[in-house]
Amino acid sequence: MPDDLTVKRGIKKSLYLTALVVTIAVFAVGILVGFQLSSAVSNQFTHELEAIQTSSVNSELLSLLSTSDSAIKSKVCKSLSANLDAISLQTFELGQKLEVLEKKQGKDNPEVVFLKNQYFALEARDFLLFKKLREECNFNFKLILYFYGAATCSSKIPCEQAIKISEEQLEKLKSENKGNILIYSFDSDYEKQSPSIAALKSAYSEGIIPRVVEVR
Amino acid sequence: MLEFFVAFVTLFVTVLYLLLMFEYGIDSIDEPKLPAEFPFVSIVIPVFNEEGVIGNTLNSIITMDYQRGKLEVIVVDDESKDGTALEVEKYTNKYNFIKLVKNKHFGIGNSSAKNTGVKHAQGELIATLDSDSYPATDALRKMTAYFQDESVMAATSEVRVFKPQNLVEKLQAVEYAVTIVSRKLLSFLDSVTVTPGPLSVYRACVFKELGDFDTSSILEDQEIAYRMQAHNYKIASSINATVYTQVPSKIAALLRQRIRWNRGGIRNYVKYKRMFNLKYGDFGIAILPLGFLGAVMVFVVLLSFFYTLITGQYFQSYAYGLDSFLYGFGAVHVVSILILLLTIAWILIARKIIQNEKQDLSHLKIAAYLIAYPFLITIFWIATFFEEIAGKKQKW
Repeated sequence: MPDDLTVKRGIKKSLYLTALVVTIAVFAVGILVGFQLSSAVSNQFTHELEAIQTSSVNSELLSLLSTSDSAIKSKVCKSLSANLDAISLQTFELGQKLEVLEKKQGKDNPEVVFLKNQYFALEARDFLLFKKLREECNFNFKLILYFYGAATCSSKIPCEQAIKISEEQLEKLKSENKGNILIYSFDSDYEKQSPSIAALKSAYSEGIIPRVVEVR
Repeated sequence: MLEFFVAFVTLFVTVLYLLLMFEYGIDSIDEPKLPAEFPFVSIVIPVFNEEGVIGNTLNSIITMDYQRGKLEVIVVDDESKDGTALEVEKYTNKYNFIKLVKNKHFGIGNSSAKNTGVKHAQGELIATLDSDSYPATDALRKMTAYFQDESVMAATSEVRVFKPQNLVEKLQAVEYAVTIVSRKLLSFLDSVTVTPGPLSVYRACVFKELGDFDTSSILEDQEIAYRMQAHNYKIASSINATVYTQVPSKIAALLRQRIRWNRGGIRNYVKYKRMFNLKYGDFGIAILPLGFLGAVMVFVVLLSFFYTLITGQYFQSYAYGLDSFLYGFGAVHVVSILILLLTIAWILIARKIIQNEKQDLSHLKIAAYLIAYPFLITIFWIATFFEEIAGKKQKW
């Protein structure tokens, strides 16, 4: 085949460069928007946390604890008893969302660490309030604390196995006490950043991680 | 990080094709003017048990507006067991430009039959036509117009699905429409990767100089295109010389076809791996590697998906409902949406270019294609992978 009839190979550098620049620009826009969304999600999470903290249920709990009037106590106890499931669901759902956030953004992400601290503080406060509620209103719901953590695991058996056993224990407790149980989970890996976890861990876990504790 | 890499490459390819569209003003591309004199063309049609369709194919040739004296049709029977030969003889008895030839080297496949046809061909141009494909009346004239440029060694047609009926065929109709435009764009980079079986035209000298269709290849139409590219032969691409082809109407048949294409494609990549080279310009440094990377990325995405499935992350995220899904929404999802929007733009522009009264590509079909095809392609590649691992012999 004569040379003048064959294709003269070339490289359209300008085409690939333009494509690369446009791709990087579109990618950058995507990443920026993604980060904005993540910030919005974090803000939304904080907003929901604050909403739970300032909700009327918590006001009722606090008023219960601050009053000595038995009639008021009785009314508040009755109201709270009817809404036990709803009360715990809010915190539980928030916990699930935080888990998703943690998986997406990583455990070491500063935003995630901050939100988790806020969440554990909320959980700790909820736990203490409901512990007091149980005493004041003579409720018999079970209060469970669950301490876990990959980095702080102290189990003699492999940690994954220990966590699995703990989770089976929790499932059994849930099914045996349907609607009458509150479970508060604390990630012991956050102990250094969260005074709430440190305090509860020292009081209840006896240094064993993972551990399921029924608070009597 | 893996997902960002996949997203980046996918975005780059989409942007590349869009830029090519704008650079070449593809909606106002002039196809070459028809010549005053048309060359002698031999149409080679390999057949194997095509009794039901060969009559339609020959009828479509008879109604073509190509000068009879400049045309011969060579039907090569690959030892059909049905009434194909008898059906063809009805035409050979009536039309002296139609011949029936028996393939002496039968049982090897389509390529062997084509080679037999090429050996009998007397035309300066040789067209290969699948027995279940029906060229438009003016298809051949439009394709031969490309050969006025002496450097053009082959020309590809605009392959469309013949009367798509069910969902499987309609999805392929969109796929074929997109391919028409992408092949045209690749021709601007001298990077056409396949001379499709339904209808392609070659100069006779291509076979004299480069040899016959490779009978060991199960994707011989791609293999010969790669061979031509390896010798820097120019392949033109038409977007208005139409051939309508029958496509698999059931998923199982489509799967078998795509496994053959994928396995043949892998072998062709391996055979021509030397062309991943600056020496071959855009073809070697961009088009071939990107095509290869596309196949590799399917497996990367699959592995990532299975890893997520095994570690339970998938179920954890979705068990928490829409709220949690939104909580997990990140940069890669935004980029994926941008890629989808650009892909939709691509397809709509392609649709505008090739839309005609005979084939409507509705928004619904395009939407169905965008939703279903990524899954189908993934399934095709998974099946290809397992067949390769099993070392299953691939027959034509």
